[in-house]
Amino acid sequence: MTQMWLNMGPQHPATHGLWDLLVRVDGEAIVEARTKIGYLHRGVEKIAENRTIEKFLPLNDRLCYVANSSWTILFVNAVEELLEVVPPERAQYIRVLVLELQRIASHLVWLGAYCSDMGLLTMILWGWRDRELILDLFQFLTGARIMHNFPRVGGVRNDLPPTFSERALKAMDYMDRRCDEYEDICGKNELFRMRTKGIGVLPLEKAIQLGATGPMLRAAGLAQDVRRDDPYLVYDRLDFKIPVGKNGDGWDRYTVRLEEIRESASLVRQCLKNLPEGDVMLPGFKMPKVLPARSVYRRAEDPRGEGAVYIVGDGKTNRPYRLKIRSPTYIHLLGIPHYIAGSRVSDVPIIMGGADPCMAEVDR
Amino acid sequence: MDLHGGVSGLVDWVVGGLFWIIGGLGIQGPVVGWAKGLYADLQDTIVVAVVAILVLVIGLLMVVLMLWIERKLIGRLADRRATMLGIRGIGKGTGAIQLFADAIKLFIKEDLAPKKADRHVFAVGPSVLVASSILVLVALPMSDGFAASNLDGGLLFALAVYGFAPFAVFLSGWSANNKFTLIGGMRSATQMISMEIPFLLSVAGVVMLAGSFRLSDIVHMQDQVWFVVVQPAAFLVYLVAMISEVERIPFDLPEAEAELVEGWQTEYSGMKFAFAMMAGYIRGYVGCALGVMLFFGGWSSPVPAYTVSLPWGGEFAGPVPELWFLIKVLLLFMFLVWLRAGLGRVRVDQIVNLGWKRLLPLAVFNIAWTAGLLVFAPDIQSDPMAMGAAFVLPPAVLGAFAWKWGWFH
Repeated sequence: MTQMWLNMGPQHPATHGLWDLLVRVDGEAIVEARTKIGYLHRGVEKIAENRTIEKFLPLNDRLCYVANSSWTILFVNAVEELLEVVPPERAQYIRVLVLELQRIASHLVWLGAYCSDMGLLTMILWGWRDRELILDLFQFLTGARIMHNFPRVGGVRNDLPPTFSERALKAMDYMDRRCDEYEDICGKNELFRMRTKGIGVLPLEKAIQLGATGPMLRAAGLAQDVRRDDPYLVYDRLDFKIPVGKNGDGWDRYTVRLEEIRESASLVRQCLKNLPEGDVMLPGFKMPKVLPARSVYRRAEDPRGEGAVYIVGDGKTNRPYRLKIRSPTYIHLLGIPHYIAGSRVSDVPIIMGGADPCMAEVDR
Repeated sequence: MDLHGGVSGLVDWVVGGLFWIIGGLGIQGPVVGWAKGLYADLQDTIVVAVVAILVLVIGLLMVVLMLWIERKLIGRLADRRATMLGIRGIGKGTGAIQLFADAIKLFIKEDLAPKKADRHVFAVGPSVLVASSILVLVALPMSDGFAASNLDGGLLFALAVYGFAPFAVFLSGWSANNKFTLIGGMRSATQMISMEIPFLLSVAGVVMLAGSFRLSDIVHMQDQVWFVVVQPAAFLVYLVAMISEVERIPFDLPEAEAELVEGWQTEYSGMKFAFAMMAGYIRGYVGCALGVMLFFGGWSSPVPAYTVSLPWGGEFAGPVPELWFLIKVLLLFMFLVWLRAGLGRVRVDQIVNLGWKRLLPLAVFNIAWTAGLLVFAPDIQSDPMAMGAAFVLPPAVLGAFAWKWGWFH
């Protein structure tokens, strides 16, 4: 049979954003594939060179539309390391709290989209429904649901509102119950197993070669997590497990992420329990007029993998000389053609979705 | 009193009234006498024609009802309220007129075809699809009297016409000259090849027990016990293959919206899309109706006969059989909606495996077992209990073993 190129994107229900996966198909089987990205390029890194740190802060929220605050907090961490300031402990705990809430929200969106890729449309609505709960918490805490603009260099913008603790704990209990429900509709669903087991296998060796991180790498069987290996904020004081898969297939990506939701819920509880008293901003802290002439590479565990910010100060201005953002999904997407061959057309959305693409972050 | 009696009474009343008016006007003569004679000759034909039109209308109304039920039910299962469009007074907040709004929107849309499409075949596809779907309604009686036709080989006719749709889908997919529709059409062909045979074989056991291809005979054979009890394996095969024929989740591969945009329907818009959509639901109705007639006792009442004295005199002996039939069809359809809410979509190789390696042996086993019982123990049919035991236990035991051996995985 003759082969043909099939555009799975950029305007296609499967792509989860604006990108293109060209697959060459022989009937239903995929022979090779190419990734085509850049539709959403905004030149964020270049913009940063022309703005002061404070003015660039809100743009970090726009780096990923599903996990916004995790990028802002990563950027703020990097800037603080550059300026050699340490935010108050309470602020650090609140940042971890926000990070973990963000991780839950992001994974819920992923789970919903992943299930809708195999026609299980109930799950996408459940995922978005339960994400609302997290968004409500964010609204309560920061005033915004998506673009929080919450962290500041030297702390966070505001303290927890009065009844936030109780609401968050209640929401986390609800989340735990919901995770069991997801287990019922996905994990115990024969069709979900049929569609994910052995699909899009990314073996550990190849995953390391391609530079995969985060859930993609952990699904392949390596317990690698920046939160534990290179602790930032107060993660070294918190207790959490790193879920690991076996085969690196679609099923393992699901189990790893579902476990991470549970772990994140537990981390939120620990944060609220151990939350120390004190300021949430460094008292009397002011942004210096000049960034020191040094560079800092700060990495963090984004919901999608290892995100990193490389920031260079020039010692003359208060604008970064260079800002480099390492997006985990960028690497995962470019890796897809290396393991998609041999799958079928039906598997393409599942393999694409397994990487949890967030195009705003990939194209930057 | 059933619907057929009602229709024939109505026709009599209308025509009688007409003649009464003519008589009242004082018109007389040979023409009136000839007309009266003609009516006496043609009365049955007229009734049949009216019933046939009613069958079509009921079929199309069921499509409306099923679409609404599907939307609402799947909305509730996904924890949302689903469509709520309504006018004050006509089901406000219930979505009662959503479908009519959709229909109006689709019918006033511009009729588009891709530039490089084979325009004629492109237009023929949905037309053939909807025509072949409606044609099946002819063969489906809704009660003993209320039928557009009661063919000797009604079941054969229905299945033959029912199996025609994949050709139309394939034609549409090919003619649109789009890669996604092409794959969708090809998938439809693949699916038909792997599922049509188990589908046809699954009804063989029922036909053997009933000894007839006439649907009303099959229904009457279930007065004692429904065939779903004595033919569980056949029902299982029928259900799976029927969902595949209707192309619903989990077997809606030809229009897998995740990877194929909208599959073979991708290029259709406006009226053609409405046709394709309507055909899908008519086929759903037909599949459920056949399932009800083959396995759930058709229009027979599931509750024992009873009568209730009405306060204004007379007696109420339960709903008309046609109503029971429609209720059962809708219940079976709701089961399909439930499946859709809880299941995803299988892959092409999986559906082929399922058809050839699982359903086909199951259907053949069912036929062999049924035939063996009928040959070696022909008296068994007179005793429902013995029949139930003989038909249910061995498949159940075998099924349990098959489950243990992982045959279903």
